[in-house]
Amino acid sequence: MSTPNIISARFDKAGSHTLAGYKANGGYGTFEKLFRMKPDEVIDEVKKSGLRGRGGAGFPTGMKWSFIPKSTDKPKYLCVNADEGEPGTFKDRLILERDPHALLEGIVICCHAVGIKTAYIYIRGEYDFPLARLDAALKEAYAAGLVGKNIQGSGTDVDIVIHRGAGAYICGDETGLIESLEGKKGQPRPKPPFPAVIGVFGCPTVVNNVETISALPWILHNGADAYAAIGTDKSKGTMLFSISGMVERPGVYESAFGVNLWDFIAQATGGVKDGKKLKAVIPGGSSSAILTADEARNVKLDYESIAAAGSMVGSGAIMVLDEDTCVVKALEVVLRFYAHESCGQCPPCREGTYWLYEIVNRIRTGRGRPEDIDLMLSICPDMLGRTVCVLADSAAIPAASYIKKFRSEFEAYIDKANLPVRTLHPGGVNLEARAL
Amino acid sequence: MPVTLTINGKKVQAADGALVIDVCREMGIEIPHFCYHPGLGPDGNCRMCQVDFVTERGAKLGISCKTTVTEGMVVDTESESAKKARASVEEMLLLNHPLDCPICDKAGECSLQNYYMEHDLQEGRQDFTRFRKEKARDIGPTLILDQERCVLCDRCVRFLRDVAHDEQLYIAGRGHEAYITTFPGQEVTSPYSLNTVDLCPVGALTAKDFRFNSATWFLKNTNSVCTTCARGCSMQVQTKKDQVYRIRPRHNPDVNGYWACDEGRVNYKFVNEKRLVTPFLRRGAEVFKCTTQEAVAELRTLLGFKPAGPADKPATRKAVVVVSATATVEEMFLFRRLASEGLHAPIFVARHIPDGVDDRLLRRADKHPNAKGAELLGIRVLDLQNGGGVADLTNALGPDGVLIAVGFNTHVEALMPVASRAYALVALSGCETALTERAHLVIPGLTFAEKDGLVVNFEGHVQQLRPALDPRGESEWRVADAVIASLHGSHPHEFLAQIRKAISDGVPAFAGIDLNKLGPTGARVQAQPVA
Repeated sequence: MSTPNIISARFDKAGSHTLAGYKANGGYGTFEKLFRMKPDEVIDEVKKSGLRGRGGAGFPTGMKWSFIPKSTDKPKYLCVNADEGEPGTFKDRLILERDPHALLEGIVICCHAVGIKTAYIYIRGEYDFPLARLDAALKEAYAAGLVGKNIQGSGTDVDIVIHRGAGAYICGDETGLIESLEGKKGQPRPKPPFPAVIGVFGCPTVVNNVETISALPWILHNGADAYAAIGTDKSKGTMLFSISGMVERPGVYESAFGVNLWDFIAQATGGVKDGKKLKAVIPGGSSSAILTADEARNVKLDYESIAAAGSMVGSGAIMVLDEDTCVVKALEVVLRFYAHESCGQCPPCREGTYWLYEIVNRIRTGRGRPEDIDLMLSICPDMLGRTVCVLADSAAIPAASYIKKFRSEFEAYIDKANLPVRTLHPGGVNLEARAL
Repeated sequence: MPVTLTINGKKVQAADGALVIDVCREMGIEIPHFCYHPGLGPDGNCRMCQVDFVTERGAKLGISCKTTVTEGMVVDTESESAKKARASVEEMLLLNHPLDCPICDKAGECSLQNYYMEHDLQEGRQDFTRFRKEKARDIGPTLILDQERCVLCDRCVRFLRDVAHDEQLYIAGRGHEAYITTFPGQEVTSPYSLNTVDLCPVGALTAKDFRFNSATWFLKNTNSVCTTCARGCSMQVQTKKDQVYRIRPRHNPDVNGYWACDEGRVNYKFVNEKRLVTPFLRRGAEVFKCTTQEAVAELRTLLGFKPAGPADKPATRKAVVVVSATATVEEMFLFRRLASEGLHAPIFVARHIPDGVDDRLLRRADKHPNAKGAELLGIRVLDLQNGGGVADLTNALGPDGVLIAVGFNTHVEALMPVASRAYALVALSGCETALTERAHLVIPGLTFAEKDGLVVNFEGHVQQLRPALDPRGESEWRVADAVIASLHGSHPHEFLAQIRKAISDGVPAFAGIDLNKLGPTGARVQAQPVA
């Protein structure tokens, strides 16, 4: 399998985070071409590449840009979402640490295409080291005239501002991010209006994930056709996958879409740790539905196939559960996280996540009742699509899928017999990382 | 451009851009809601107003408060899925709700209670220990906050921020731990703070003034007008037996919108306290109770008329009639008639404007509801806070005149220097004041809560006070009418409607307004040429 390295090409090159290191590997090589192109041509190129948002929703990037009104008196803004909060996801962090200039170059490309003069990078508050690397890279880029006023004499101005979050998962939602960036309490806005019309400071705003933006230099350099040639019909290009859990070598791996999910995981990470049996795979972060071992072995890794299997690619956070991992405990951790991170605006989320957590907690601690499983299943539909943002869904989807696919484990807890043997592996499934 | 849409199978027309929830309300379909309020607009957080939007691709739930109508839209508010969605939100809201309805002031007018009756009425499936928050927290001079009862609809926060422009509450914390609170070390001191109690759909914010005073279902509502300042907000006076318990604003787009100030809401204590109920005469240090007929006879004697029968000669003693600017249009009208036709005495309307300014929302510096009415009737309005106003009154009174003071129920201090110089003081007043303590003749009058009458606010909007309580004294207008009739040897009027008719016919500003058929929101009088 010839995996083209697009995003991760420079990750292990020496000095890749510095301007010199980036330039040595062809960095900022697209500017000459970029500034000769008309903004619409750039948007068309991105549309043609089939690039989709890598933050979780997988929305086509070129189309998102084209929603920005062409004729407006207001300034337009780009918000780069570097809040990377989805449990299990740690790919943007690598980009920020090891290839920050690719992000900056991508930002200039996006700003040129959409006519934006100011871009904000909203970086997760806990990312100290990535922030230091990004900050240093930005200073270098400013000093070299690659960012700022009249870049390389092109007449294009792009100012980039780094804004540090304060540790709320919900600020990774695009409108939650915008509210937080404006200095308010981070809680998502009802849509419509969408950020493309009313975003930061009431102005049209593009919100893109770090990885999405970082793919732009490659696309512009190699052409949209080259990018579109990779992957499947609808899921084009490559994506970074953060693989964690019970595998031999957890880490970030890049893959083209369309490969077999489990083959990719096994090949990249060396398979399940200690030669144990695979129990399940969570393919797209903690908010995605769980896939059983059989499903994981028989599904292709692309947006459509995984959706057909009832889950989602999401932010590419793949979590592997081995035969000893307890699904009930895994669900408890997931629900504790969402109950803690709900912003509290909408009752179905504010109360629903807490309710689900309370129930799974009592099941896990040996206080479960036979009717609890059906109670949880009846709560979940009332949380799906009922709220301002999708946080409630993010709790309800895993809850429903874990129970449906591993009901016997829940029943075992309730029957107080045949309890699954082991607790979460220490340092294993990455779910616990930010919970409470 | 109106658009046509279908709601529950009925075709309706609505203005483009109208909200679905508003259109439904106009049709008589009340969609449950917490965060939406017509005076605040939608916020979209409570998810209670979900209805089904039916398209070719099937029905989809959406919130009716944030959705604007479009051509051909099909709305189903009563579909099973919509009802279930709303019931589910209700259930979620009740999960951590303390259910202390029996001791909650809001019980009976609580949205959470009402929607439970409407949607759910099931045993709770909640069976964990409820999340505790702070109860009965004193958050300022007017409010008590119960964080457990709160549904976090954000209305109070938005009102103080967006309407009162005085941000003093916010939502802290997140998830199920989120709670309404004040900024650290601060209290809610907004002069409009009690609006948050009305806005609160549950019992989270309660008024210190009304707390534990009465169950809401025992209160009788009377539509009336606030007499606290020249704005004249439309109010609802809530009474039980012979006491006023609460005053709340009622919607009047021409005057106060949905709001009222705190001052106006609590300005009813004098109605319940220190009331005068019997006329009395004062002879030196002694006080003699009398009947109204005897009081009228005494008044005639004071002025130099014979005690009864038609007046055969003019008054021998000079008199000045001074009417409070809180009196109604009818009272001013009749006392002017008494002054000009019966006593041949000058009449003034007096007010005392304390230091203060008109604020941006409602409150006026002029704390009298009807100075504009006096102006429209052509009666001179004296400002007693100026030395000039007092001097004019003193000059008119002369060295030994009789001062007839009408309707000064509160704030009489400014009138005292004049009163102390009068040969005799006659007071028509509903309450004990410094004036009645030295008056030679006192006839108990009424307060706004018992009166029927018209007041005109500073913008020229005429509204009707309606009696919320049984009268305890004499209607001022009947007293004036009785004196006029006794001097003329005629019969007094029987109905206030006859007086209103005379005002409509005789006062140009009110021409064309049927004062006997004023609606609940009143009417705007005709613009007057600047005199």
